[in-house]
Amino acid sequence: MTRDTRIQIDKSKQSHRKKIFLSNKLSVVGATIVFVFILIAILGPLLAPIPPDEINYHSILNSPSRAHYFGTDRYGRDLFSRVIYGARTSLSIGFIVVIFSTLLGLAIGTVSGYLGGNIDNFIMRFVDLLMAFPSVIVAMVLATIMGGGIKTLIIAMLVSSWTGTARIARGETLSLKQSGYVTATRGIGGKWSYILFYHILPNVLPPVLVSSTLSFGNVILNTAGLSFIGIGVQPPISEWGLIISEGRQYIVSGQWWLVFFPGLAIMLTVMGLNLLGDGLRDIFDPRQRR
Amino acid sequence: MNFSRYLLKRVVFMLLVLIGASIVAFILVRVVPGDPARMLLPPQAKQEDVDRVRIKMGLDRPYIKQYLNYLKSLLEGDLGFSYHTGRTVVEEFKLRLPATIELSLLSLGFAALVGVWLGIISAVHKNGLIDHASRLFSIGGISAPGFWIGLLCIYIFYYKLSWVPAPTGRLSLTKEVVAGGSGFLLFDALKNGDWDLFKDAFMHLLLPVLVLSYSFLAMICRLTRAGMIEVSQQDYIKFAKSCGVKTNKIIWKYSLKNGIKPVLTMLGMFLAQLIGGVVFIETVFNWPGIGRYAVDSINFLDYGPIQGFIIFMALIYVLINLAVDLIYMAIDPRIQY
Repeated sequence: MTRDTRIQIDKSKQSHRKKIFLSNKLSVVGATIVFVFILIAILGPLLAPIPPDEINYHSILNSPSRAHYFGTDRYGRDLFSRVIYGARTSLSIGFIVVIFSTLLGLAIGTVSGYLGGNIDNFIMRFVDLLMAFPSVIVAMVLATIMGGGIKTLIIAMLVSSWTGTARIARGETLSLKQSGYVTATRGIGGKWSYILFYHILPNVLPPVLVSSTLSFGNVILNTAGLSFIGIGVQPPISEWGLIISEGRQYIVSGQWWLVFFPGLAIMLTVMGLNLLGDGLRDIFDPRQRR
Repeated sequence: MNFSRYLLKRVVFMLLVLIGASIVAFILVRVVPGDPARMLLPPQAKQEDVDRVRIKMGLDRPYIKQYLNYLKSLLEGDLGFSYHTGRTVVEEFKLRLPATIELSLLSLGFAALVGVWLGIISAVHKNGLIDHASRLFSIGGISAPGFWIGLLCIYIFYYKLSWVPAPTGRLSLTKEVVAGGSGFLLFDALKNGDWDLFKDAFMHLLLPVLVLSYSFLAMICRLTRAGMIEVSQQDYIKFAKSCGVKTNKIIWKYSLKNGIKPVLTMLGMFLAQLIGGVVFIETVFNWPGIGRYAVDSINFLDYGPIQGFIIFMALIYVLINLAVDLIYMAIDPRIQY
């Protein structure tokens, strides 16, 4: 195949994928939501009208108004600013966890699947074992040992989220291992590291990326949940789950905004990531296309 | 692989999970700051007394021995001791378990019934109005945090509409749990013919059950829909249709058994998530169950109950997964192990 035709095929493949993605309106909506929230997180300091931790005892528990779009909390802090800064916290924690768990899961999954045999068996049983523990419990154990905080939160979610990626990566590697071009490369004496990097990894990557996008949403939900019960992000950092937990006691006296807005932000972000993930899956995994 | 060998493999794995959990629980107490013996005694206790308790508790022996002792006490049904309340963890769990079981079983049952039903309807009316509505409903259930929905429901249904009582746990503050009962309030109230109590317990259960079941309902609905659509394209269903078998009979008798399989495969995972969800929902609704107890214990740095919680959850998880395997086999006789 000449270079030109190859580029042409690549291009047509690309435009075909783009078409599939754009034809699914929901995934476009998802991508837009995610993009907007990433922008909010990056531009945070420019968008927030008032510093998120500025205490103002003249405006305690104000309902949403022109001056405070989302109202204020018990210290008179501006909720709009706090929710904007919350995007920075949640998305950066999410990014860190997803990147590391993807790398870890990818490395362990592909190597385990490629080597096979007893090592593979051992690793996969270990993965099963880890999966048997709900992430909340892992986080609880770690929080007891290390105390709450962002570090604990990140480690807890890493422990419970790389296993899913490892399983997918291993499954793909197992089927790729049998494919013609891999056996051919091995036949002409290709090193196993070469095969892993140049033949297996590029093909394992797409499904793994889809699952990473979907698990990103889960990480954000878990971050919020663990902070809500007090073993995640600690005050005075702005984090969505923590803001909800701080506003929780006011819901029975009618101050709904303290809970409503941060939760809405969580829901929209997670929804965006889920829709985006579904869209990506439709592209990369035609078997599951609706 | 024959069945007995498969069963053996499962049992070995179950034991591994439990041993793993016991090691985690054992290490937990060894790495946290503070001396367990000192915690048991009043702050002004002398060093000699602390040493004596250490020896009595076996803390002076090598770790392996200590672990084996711990394992032995677990096998004897001793889950440890709560420094905070001065009772054994088993007693504490007994007190709280009915609340958690009542909540989670009702939620799971509700989610399964409504989720499967909604999934079937969505599959039958594929891409119709109902299907789109149920998709939207499901996306919300999967994306929104349960504790947030719970709090919003409290605001709407308690504060605004006064349809449900205040979130004070299982009963209104003026009502009392039936003494000497099973702890399952609905059941106890019915048995005693106490209609008022039943109504009160039911109204308190309503929101927590609905909120806890929402995300499972959403997932079960999506999986059932996908499974039913896939099955409906298979030859035996087409054949049944062309023979003029009634649609209802095709759905309920022929499609459902195979269409529901994806739900069963994921059931173990759902339950692991349900265990997590219980912790949040119990916190939101002040539900006196073991999830909230575990959270409280962490805040009090009361390690005994946390240890017990880890072991207990691992046990539940293992048993549930075994049950799922057996159900799977009952529903699909082709599966050979």
